[in-house]
Amino acid sequence: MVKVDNRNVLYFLARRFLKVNRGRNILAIISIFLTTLLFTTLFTGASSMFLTKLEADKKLYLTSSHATIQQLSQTEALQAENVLKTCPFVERYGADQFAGIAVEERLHCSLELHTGDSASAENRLAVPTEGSLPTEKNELAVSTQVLDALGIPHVLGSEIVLHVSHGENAPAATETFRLCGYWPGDSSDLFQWGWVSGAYASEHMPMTSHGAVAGNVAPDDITSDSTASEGHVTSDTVTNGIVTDNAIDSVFGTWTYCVWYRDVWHIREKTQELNTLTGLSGSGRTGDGFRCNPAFLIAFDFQEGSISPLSIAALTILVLLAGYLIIYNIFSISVKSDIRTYGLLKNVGITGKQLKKIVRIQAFYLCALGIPIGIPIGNLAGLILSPALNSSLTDQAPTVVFVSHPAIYLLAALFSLFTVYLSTMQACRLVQKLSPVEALRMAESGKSSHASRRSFSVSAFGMAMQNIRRTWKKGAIVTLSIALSLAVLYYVSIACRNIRFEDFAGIYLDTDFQLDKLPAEGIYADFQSITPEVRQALDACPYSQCAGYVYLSEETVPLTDSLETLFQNLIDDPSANWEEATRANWAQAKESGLLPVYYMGISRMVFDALSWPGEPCSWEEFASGDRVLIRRPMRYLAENEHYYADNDTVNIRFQNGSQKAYTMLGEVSVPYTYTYPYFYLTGMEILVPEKEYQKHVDDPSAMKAVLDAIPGQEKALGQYLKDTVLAKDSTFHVSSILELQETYDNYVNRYYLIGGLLCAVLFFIGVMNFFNTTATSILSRKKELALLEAVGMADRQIQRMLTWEGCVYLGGAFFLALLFTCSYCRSTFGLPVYTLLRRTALPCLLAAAALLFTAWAIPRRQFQKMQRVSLTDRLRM
Amino acid sequence: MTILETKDLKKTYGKGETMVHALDGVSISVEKGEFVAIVGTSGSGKSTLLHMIGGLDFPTSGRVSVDGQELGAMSGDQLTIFRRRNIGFVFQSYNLVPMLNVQENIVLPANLDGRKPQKEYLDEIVETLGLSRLLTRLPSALSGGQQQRTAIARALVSKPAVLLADEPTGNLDSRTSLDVLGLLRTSKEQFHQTIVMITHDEGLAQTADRILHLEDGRIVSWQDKGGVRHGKG
Amino acid sequence: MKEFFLVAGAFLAAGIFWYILFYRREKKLMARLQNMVDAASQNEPEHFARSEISESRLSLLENSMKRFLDDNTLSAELSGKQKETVQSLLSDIAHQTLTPISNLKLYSELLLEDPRGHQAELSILQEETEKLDFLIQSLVMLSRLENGILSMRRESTSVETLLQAVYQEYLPAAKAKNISLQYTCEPELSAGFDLKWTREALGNVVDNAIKYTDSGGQVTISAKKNTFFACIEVADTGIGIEEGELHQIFSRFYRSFSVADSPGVGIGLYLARQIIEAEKGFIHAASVPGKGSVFTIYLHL
Repeated sequence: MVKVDNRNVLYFLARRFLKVNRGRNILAIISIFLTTLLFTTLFTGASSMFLTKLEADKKLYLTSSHATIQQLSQTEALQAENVLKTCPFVERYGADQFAGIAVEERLHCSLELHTGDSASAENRLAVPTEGSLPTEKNELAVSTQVLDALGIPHVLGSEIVLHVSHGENAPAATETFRLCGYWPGDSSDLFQWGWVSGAYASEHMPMTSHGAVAGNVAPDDITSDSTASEGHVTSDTVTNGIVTDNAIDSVFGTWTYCVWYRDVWHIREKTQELNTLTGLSGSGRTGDGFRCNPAFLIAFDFQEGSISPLSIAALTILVLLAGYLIIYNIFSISVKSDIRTYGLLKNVGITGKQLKKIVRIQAFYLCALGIPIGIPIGNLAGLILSPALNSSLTDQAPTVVFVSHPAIYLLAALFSLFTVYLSTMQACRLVQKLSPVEALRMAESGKSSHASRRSFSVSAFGMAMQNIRRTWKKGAIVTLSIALSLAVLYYVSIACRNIRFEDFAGIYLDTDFQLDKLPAEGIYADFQSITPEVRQALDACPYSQCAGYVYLSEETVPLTDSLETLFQNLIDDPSANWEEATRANWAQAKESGLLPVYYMGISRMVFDALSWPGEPCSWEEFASGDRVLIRRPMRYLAENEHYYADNDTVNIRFQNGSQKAYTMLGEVSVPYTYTYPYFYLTGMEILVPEKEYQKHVDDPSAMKAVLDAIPGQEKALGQYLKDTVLAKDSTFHVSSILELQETYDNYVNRYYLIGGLLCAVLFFIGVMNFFNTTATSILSRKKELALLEAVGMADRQIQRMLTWEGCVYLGGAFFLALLFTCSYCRSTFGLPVYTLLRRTALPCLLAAAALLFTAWAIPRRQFQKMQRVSLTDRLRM
Repeated sequence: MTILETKDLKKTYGKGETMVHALDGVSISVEKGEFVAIVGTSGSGKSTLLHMIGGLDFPTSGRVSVDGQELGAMSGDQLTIFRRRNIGFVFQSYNLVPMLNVQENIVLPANLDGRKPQKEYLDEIVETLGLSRLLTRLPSALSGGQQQRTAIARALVSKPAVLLADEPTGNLDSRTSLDVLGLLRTSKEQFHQTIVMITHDEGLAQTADRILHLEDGRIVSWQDKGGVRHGKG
Repeated sequence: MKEFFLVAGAFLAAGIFWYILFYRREKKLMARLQNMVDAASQNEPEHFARSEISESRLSLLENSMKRFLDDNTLSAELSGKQKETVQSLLSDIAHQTLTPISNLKLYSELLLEDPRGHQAELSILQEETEKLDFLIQSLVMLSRLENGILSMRRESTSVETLLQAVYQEYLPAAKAKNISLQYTCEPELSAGFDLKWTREALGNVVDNAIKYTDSGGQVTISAKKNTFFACIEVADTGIGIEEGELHQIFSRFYRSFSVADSPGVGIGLYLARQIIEAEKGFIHAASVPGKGSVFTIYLHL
C-alpha cells in the first residue's frame, strides 16, 4: 500500500527538536562518543590479544599455515599435490623440499636448506623482507640471525660459504652461495632455514631430477596452476620406477606441504578430511598424516585461548550498561521536559508511532556525530593499550599485533547503535503512550502533573528525603551508575593486591633460573643441550646458591605381562581417542617386547624438590645407584595402579647394549620443571642419580639446568648467564625470576591500568547522571523552591537541602559498591572482611572525597544557575 | 446534513462515592456549516464534551460520530490520523508548536498527510486572518491574539469537517476576543466551516447560529438564532 | 555463454515476478478506487463512508472524496433553499399585487362608465392593467414551474372537457373581434394531463391565435387521437409566422417585429410550452406567412 509521504516532516521536526535542545545534544553526543570509544577499545584490545597470542603460537610451533605434513616421499608428495589442487576447502597450499643441511659450529643449531615456493616460506615464517627467494642455482636466502652468526653483512649478493651435507651419511661439502634475500630472525629460534633454488635441489637430490614434482619447485611461483600447466606427470610415471619410495630412507629430498583452508573453522575436521582424501593418514614425519597447526587449535579453544568469550561478553555488557544508564537518563529527561510539545504534536495529528520515530531520528542524528568520533579515538586507545594488554606471563615480549580493522569499527558502531536504541526505548514508550488530553492539561495548567503535596517538612534533611522518595527511580539509576564505577575501583584494588609475587612465581618457576632448549613443539626439542662445558660454566658461577641438572635419555625395559595389561587397557580405553602415532608406538613396543622409557639422571638439588606420596627416602639411600624412583603419573593411572611394585626389579637395557637390573625404590611426584615436558602414553620416567646416569649413557650432556641464586644476587646471576652461556649460544631458552618479576609488574600494572580507565569512564558517566538528575529535580521544582524562598527559606537552607539529597544518592552508591565488592571478593578470594576493608581503605577515602565534592559542587552550581532567574519570574511559571 | 452527532454521551471520573459525572447523557447533533456555541460555567463538563467530540478522550459510554465516522471504533493512531484530517482545534492556550514558526505551524497538519496546501487557499486564509507579515515569526514572538489567529489558520488549512474551539478567547482581552470571534464567524461563511465553540461567556456566544447550555453535564436548554429559548430538547 | 543465459533467465524471472506483483497491486488499487467512485455516485452521498483510516494514500484520497461529497451536498441544500426563498418572494408579490390590480381594474371601469371622462385614455389604462395582471399571473406560474415546485397532477382527463372549457373562455374575445371560433373533438378522447394547467396552456395558444388573426378570420381547435399522443391542433387564418422566427416564438418575452404594434407581453407561448413539457408532452408550430399558423399540442395518452 502506498503510504502518505510524511517522513520529511518527521525529520524536519526532529531537527527542530535538536535545535532547541543544545545542552542535551552535547551531553548525549559525549555519552554516545564514550560508549563507542569503550566498545572500540574493547574490541580492538580483545582482537589484539587474540591475534598476538595466535602469532606468538605460530612462532612457537614454527608454522603459520593451518595444517602441514612433513617428510613426504616423492610418491606421497604427488598424492598430496593431486588432492590439494582440487580440494574445495583448501584456499592455497605450498610445498618445499629438504635439499640439505648446513653443518656449522658457529650457528649452534642446524640450518636446513629447503627449496620451496613463497607459500612455504610464509609457512615457515621465513619470507625474505629484503631481496627474494633464490632463482639461480647458487643463491641462498637466510635469516639475519644466521648472517650474524656467520659474521656476514646484511648486504644482498654477499658470499656465504657453508658446509653442506646432502645425505644421511654423505660427507659435508663446502659450497659457496650468494645472498639473495634475508629476513629478520629471532634469537630464540632453535631452527634455521635457508632457501635454495629448485635447480640446486634437483642437482643434489638425484631422485627429483627425473621426478615430475621437481617441476613444481620453481621457487616463487609454485601454485596449483603452474603444476597443472606442467602437469605431464601422472602417478603412473612415478610408480613406473623412476622414483620409488625406497629412494628415501632419510629426510633428505623429502617434501613438506602446508595448507591454508578457506576459513579457520573446523580445522581439525578439515585436516582429517584431507588425510582421508590423500590417503596419507599414516605418512609424514609423525606418521599421522596432515597435522593441524596447534596455534590455531589453541586460539579457538576457548578454555586455553588468550581471551575467553565470557569475559569479553561480560565487559561488553558492562559497557552497554554504563552507556545505557547515561543515555537513558539524558533522553528520558529531555523527552520529559519537552513532553508538552510532544503532546501538542499529538493533538495536531502526529501518531504515537511517528512521535516515537521523531525521538529515534534525534537519537540517530546524535549517533551520527558521536559514533564516528568515538571509533577512531577508541581504536587509537585500543592500539595504545595493546602492548600493556599483551604483556604475557609466560613468553618473553611477544610481538604485539596492532589491529585496526573495519569489522571492529562496524561491530563497535552496531553495538553503540544498539545501546542507544535500548536507551531511547523508554523515552519512545513515553511519547508513544502520551495521551492527548493529558498533554492538553499540562499545557493548560503549568508544568508538573504531580499533585501538590499536602505536608512540608521544614528541615532541609526532611525535605531532601521527601524528594528522594518522590523520585526514587531516578535516584536508583544514579546510585547504580556511580556504584558501578566504585565497585570496579574497589575490585581492582582488592584483586591486584591479592596476587603476591611469591605465589605468582611459584606457579611458573620452581627455581630462580632455568636453562634448556625445549620449545613447545617436541620435534624441535634438544635433550642434550647442556654440554659438559656449559655445566662447567654454570657450576663455576659465583652467584648461585646451588645448581641442579636433569639428564634424559631414551632407553627400554622388557615389557612384562603386568605392564602390557596396564598399557593395553589404557590404549583400549574407549573414551580416549589416542593419536595414530601413540597406537603405532604401542604396537611396536608389543612387537619387540621392549617398552621405551625415559631414563633420567637427577642431581641433589632436584632430588630435594621431589615430593613423596609415601615415606621419603634419603639422598644417601638413593645415591647408591642401585635403586630407582618412578615418577608417579598424574593423569592416566588410577590411584591403585602402579607400573612396578616397591622392590620389584627394573631391568633397563641401554642403547649401547649393556643392561642393569635396579630395585624399585618407590614412586614420587616430580615438579613439572624437571619432567619430560611432552606427551607420551606408553612409557614412564625412571629417575636415577646423575652419577649412575653418566655411567650408562654415553652422551654426557644434560637436558636442563636449574639454578638458585644467592638471595639478592639474582641480577648478577642473570648477567653471568648472559655473559657466559648465552654469549656462546643464543638459542638457549632461559626462564628467570627476573623476567617473571617484570612480567608480574606488567600484569599488575595492566590490571591497574584497565581498572583505572574503566573506573574513570564509569565515574564520569555516573557523575553526569547525577548532574542530569539534579538538573531535572531542580527544574521540576522551580516553582516549589521559589515558593519556599518566598516564604522565607534562606538560600543556604535550600542549598543544604539539595546537598543532602546528593549525599544520600552518592552515599548510597558508596556503601552499595563496598558491600557488593566485599561480599563478592570474600566468596571469590576467601579473604577475611578485615583484609578487604584494609585494602579498600585508600580507594574508599579517595572515592569519598570525590563524592563529597560532587555532592556539594553540582547542586550548588545548579542552584546558582536557577537563581539567575528572578524570584517573581519563577513564581509566575 | 448532520456532520457531528453524540448519543447519550457519558463520562465519569473516579469510583464509588467520589464518582463525578462530567457528562451525563449528552445528545447533540450539529448540521454541516452550522456555528454552534456550547455555553456553560466552569465544571459544567463543556471541555470534556469538546474533548470527546474531538477524539482526544474516550467516553465512558455513548457514541460520537463525526462526518459519518464512529470515533469509538477507532484505535488511538487511527483516531490521530482522523483528527489530523477532519477535525481542527483552537485551544484557549493556542497550543502552537513552540519551535516552528507561524508558516510551519499552519502547514504542519497538511504536511503530515504528505500534502502541500493549495497556495491560493493558504494565501486566502493567511490574508483573512491578517498573518501575512508574521509568517516567519516564532510563536514566542507573537501576541496572544496573533497566536490564536495562527491557531485558527492551522485549524482551517486542512479544511476540517468540524472546527472545535475551546474557549478560544479565554486568554485574550475583550477587544482581541471580538476580533478572533469575528474571524471565526467570517471563516464559517467564507469556507463553509462547521464550528463548535465552547465558552462561558453568553455574550460571545451570541454570534453563533445556535447556543446550547450545558449544566452539570447535561444540556439544559438551547437557543436558535432568533433568540428563542427552548427548554430541554 | 551458459552464464549469459543464466543471467538473462534470472532477469526475466525477476521481471515476471515484479510484473505479476505490480500488476496485482495495481489491479487491487484500481478495484478499490472504482468501488469508491461507485459508492460515491450511486448511493446518497451521505452514505459514502471511509473504508479505512490509516497513513495510506488511499485512505487520504477517501477522506478527501468524502469531504468533497459533503461539500456538494451542502451546496445542493443551500441552492434548494435559495430557490424556495425566491419562490416565496414571487408568490408574495403576486399575492400582494392582486388587490391593487383588481382595484385598478374596478376603478378604471367605473371611470369608463362616466361619460364625461377621457374615454380613449381610460380604455388604454384598462387594457394595460389587464396586461399587467396577466403578466404577474404568468410570472408566478412560471417561477413555480421552473423551480419544479409546481404541483402538477397528471391524471386521465377527457380532452373534450378541456376544449370546451377553453372554447367557452375565449368565445367572447373571438366574438368581439368577429372571429369564428370552433372546436371539434374525437369522441371519448382522454389523455394524462392536469386540467387546470393545460387549460392555461391551451388557452394561451388560442389567445395567441385570436390575437394575430384579423377580424373575419377563423380559429379552429381540433383534437384527435394519435398512437401515443392526443393531438390538439389550433389552426388560425392569421398573419402567420416567418420561418426564421418559428424556433423563437416559444422563448420568453419574444415578440415578432411584425406584431410589434399589437398588444401582448410575449410570455403566453413560453408558458404554454413549459406547462406542456412539464406534462411530458410537447408543442409544435407550423405556419405559412400570410395564410395562417397551426399550433399542435401533443399530450401523452
